[in-house]
Amino acid sequence: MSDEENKELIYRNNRELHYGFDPEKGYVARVDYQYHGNQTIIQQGWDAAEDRLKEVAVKISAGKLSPLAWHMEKNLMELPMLSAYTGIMKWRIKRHLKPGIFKKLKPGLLGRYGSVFNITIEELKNPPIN
Amino acid sequence: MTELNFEHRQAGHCESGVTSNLLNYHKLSLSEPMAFGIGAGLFFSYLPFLKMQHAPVTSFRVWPGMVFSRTTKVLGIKTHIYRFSNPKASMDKLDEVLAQGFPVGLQVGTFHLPFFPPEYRMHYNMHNMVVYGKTDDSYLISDTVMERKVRISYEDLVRVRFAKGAFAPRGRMYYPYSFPSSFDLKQAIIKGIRKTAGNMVGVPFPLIGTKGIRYLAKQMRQWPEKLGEEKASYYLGQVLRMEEEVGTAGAGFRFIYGTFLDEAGTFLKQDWIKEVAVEMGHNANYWRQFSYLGSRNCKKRSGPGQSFDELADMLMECADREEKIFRNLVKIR
Repeated sequence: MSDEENKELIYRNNRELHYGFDPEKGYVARVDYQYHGNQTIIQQGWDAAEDRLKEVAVKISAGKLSPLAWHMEKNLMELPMLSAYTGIMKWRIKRHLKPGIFKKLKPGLLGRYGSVFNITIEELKNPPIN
Repeated sequence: MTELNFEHRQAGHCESGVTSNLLNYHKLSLSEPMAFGIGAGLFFSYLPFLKMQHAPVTSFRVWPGMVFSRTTKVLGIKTHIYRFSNPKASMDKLDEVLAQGFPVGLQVGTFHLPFFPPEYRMHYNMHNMVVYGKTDDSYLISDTVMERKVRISYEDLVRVRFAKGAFAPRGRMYYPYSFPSSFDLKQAIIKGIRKTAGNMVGVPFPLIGTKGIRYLAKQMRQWPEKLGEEKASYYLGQVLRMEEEVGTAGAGFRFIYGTFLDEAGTFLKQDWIKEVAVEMGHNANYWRQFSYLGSRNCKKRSGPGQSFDELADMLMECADREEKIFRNLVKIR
């Protein structure tokens, strides 16, 4: 990897093993960071997740969604996965996404969501939006 | 406290790396590309009806677990493979097997994997790693993605072993325990190549193998019009992420597979396979070129990059090249 390309690297947490093919030397293996083209597409995935999170935050402020929606998006979870983690039926989770119904939930149920997201009930009710 | 004398070696792909490293512990030396090729790990499928992270699934590999099970089976190695519904039972079994002196392969989800680089912590449930020991408060892990050996707590290990979602690992653990006195590596290589070639050009289904690559190319041409620029570029990004992200060793496993063909040609003393390996190398570089040009379309707030038509043309070229390569390989004896 040239120095010029290295400057653009976004992620430098860990080096991995990469296989490659050089028309002159044949097959080569080296340990290095992901090359910058790959890092771009990894970042695109996270940027898209961040955009979705912002959209959800706007809807929560407008009273269209409950705070639960924010934590789902933050944890990159969709209904089937959250249902599998909590053991709560999908149609019930869908109801809990409505602000009015979410407000009336009992601590027991909130605790089940909290433990999956690894946060307290207080944090579950007050996602850091704005 | 148990700590087995396990050699940590990084690998391009987690499952072939784990397979190679587990066999290496038992004094059976098989390189990672060999394990990948014999296990017939290379594949292509495009599944537009299945969505992951909000975009269709493209896969460059076979079903999780296949590489380990095929490689060991064809070499006549006996293995235990377990799945669990009860987390406590799965951890007790792990402790028991460790105490008997066997390092153990585990299938885990990466979202809650504490030692993983943050940029890789997505809900990806087909990751593999080895547990090779245990201290009072943690388990000793060899993960082929990581530069060094790492540790994980009991609670975190339960969490990743019972990750939920697509391809949930359900505590899956596996290890080889009995080895034949001799085995036929030559036949194993030939079988592996034939299996992969059959998968790539011999399946009469439009979404699989080289046909699948062409199908994806055709769909890709329509993405900008059907989905709009932003979503089209996100869909493209998803294809590229599956192709290039960790665990594929680059170019959707084509580099690692080419390395295998190169080693296979040497071992079998068949020069034509080494020539095919070179073709595979050029093909892999072409896939890399595709992802490199494609990734420019995925940069935020950048001008228009490569057109989707041109990218689709490149995919068609990849399909042609691979069709030729695998039609050739199918003839191996």
